[in-house]
Amino acid sequence: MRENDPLTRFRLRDGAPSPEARRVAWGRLEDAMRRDRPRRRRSPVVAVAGAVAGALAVAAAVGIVVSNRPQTTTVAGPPGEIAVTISPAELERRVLHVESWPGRQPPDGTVYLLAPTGANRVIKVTDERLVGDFLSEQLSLHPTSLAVTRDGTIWALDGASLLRRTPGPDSGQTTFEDQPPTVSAPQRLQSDPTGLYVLDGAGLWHHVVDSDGEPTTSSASPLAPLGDGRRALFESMPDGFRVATSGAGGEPGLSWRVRSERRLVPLRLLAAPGDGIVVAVVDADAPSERFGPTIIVLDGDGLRASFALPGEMAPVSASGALLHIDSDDAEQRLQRYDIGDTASDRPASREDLVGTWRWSDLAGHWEQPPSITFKASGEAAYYDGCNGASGPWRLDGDRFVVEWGPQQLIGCENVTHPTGPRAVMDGGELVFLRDDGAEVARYERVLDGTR
Amino acid sequence: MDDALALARSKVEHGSFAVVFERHFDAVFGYIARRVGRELAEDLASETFTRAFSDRARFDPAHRDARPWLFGIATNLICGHRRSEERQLRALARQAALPVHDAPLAANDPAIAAALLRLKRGDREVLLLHALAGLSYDEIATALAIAPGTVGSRLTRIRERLTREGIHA
Repeated sequence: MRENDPLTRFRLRDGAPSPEARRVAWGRLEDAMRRDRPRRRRSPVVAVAGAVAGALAVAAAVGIVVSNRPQTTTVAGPPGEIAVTISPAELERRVLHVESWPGRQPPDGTVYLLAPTGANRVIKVTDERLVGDFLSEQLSLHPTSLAVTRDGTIWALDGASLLRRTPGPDSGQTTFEDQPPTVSAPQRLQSDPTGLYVLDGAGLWHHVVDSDGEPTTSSASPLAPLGDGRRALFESMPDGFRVATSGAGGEPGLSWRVRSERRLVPLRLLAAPGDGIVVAVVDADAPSERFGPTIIVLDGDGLRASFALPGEMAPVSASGALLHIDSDDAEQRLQRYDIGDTASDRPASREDLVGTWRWSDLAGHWEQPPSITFKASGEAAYYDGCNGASGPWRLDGDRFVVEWGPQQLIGCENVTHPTGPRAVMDGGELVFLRDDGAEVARYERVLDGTR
Repeated sequence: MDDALALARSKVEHGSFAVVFERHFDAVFGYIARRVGRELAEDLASETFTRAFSDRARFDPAHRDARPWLFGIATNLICGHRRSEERQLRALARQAALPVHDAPLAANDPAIAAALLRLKRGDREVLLLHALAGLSYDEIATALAIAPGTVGSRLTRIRERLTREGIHA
């Protein structure tokens, strides 16, 4: 603000919120989050643990640092941080690790929490209650990572030692057994329906136990969760990558290969926006000068699987959405992809368009809100609160065309009514897209009887 | 992690939205409180973030910073309480007493309250987003969905008007 600026008179005192205001706001936001996605009814403990497990699975690729603050736990690590909500009960135990059966209910409703209460303790949680330190009788063990494989075997990493505890009728009395070392400098364990994975000191995942519990050795990433409950496996192959998705129950499903000249690149799933589309990126731990920023985009049938490099436009979905790669920062590439929206879009019909619409992003209060009207006669008109124009509109196949005439007045503070060459319906909203699939503007119908 | 990435991630992992909440709640609350008082601000600031979460798919990722978008939502919500705000401003302009614990924007200056009342609503929003919230021209343009040039011309007009009315720094 300039010196002697009269606007400085409007700068007034501090308005910091009280801790109570912040707490109430966060509580309401948590309620909104819970309402946002209907979920199968589960016990509160398992539900919370499941949410934490999901977040930690994402965080696993970037290295986990956990810090606590009231009602939330932030799981952070390069290149950014991921915040997850956690109940006070779990917070008190400062949960470092949650293990559950990936992608579905854990067998017998059990999850395992690894909590640093003095020594790291393994705590068993059933549907209803905390069972307690069920391994406390043998806690000369100080596990830093924990995994449970499909057959119920519990795997623990204690320093550089990998230990296993086989399930059975008398499992409560069995102890952990040492396993032969297969991975140098093991850092972390993770399991999924295809077996057990160990992250080594160089940041590569090793598949050490297969789905039958037999030893195996290959470099691969553990299954990454897809948005629809399925999971995806990225595996380095001599001639490229193999990418396999699972069925809804976590069983192995469709697989395909992605053309690539690169080998042994650790990959990390960024998003699974639906329709079987997965977006992955070279893991942040990989040396960037060697691999460069790369995003891999696949569609559900694998036919349009492609590598997307900076500057490329990569086709990704049957609905025509595109991912534009335009920066050197692979993480930021995700921004160009409107996760989860395109799956529900459908091309707008003439009948859909007829009526009056209000630009959803339009802020401010208006005596007569700016609007745009498409009449069945083929005439379009817009009003921007001051000015207006009209012209013919039509749909040529899926192409939207409007030809605005001159504005009626000049000197107004015009509100633009952006449109695009493609019109789709997302629920009850009219969405205009660019040819590359990027959203231009979203409109809500105005119920004014013009339809 | 910038706001755009946090919002994108929050579509598949709700908890990522906490990054946006932690980063901007204080500023949004402060802005609303200075306009309508702390009591109402508690509701409106909370509602701003709840709506932002619900509408996060609409956030334009070309903007890395969610602050203008959040202030746009907050502005809409404040507009829903415009009569309350203007009633308080009128009372202030008349130098009527207000509860001290919940005094809004211009509690200490009837002249400021009167000047605000005389401004067109659109001008008032631009002025307050600039002076109270500290938004840049481009950010105000984003928040109010108007052209950056319009922000500049409005602020010039407002400065001239305030000077004419005898309001100086």
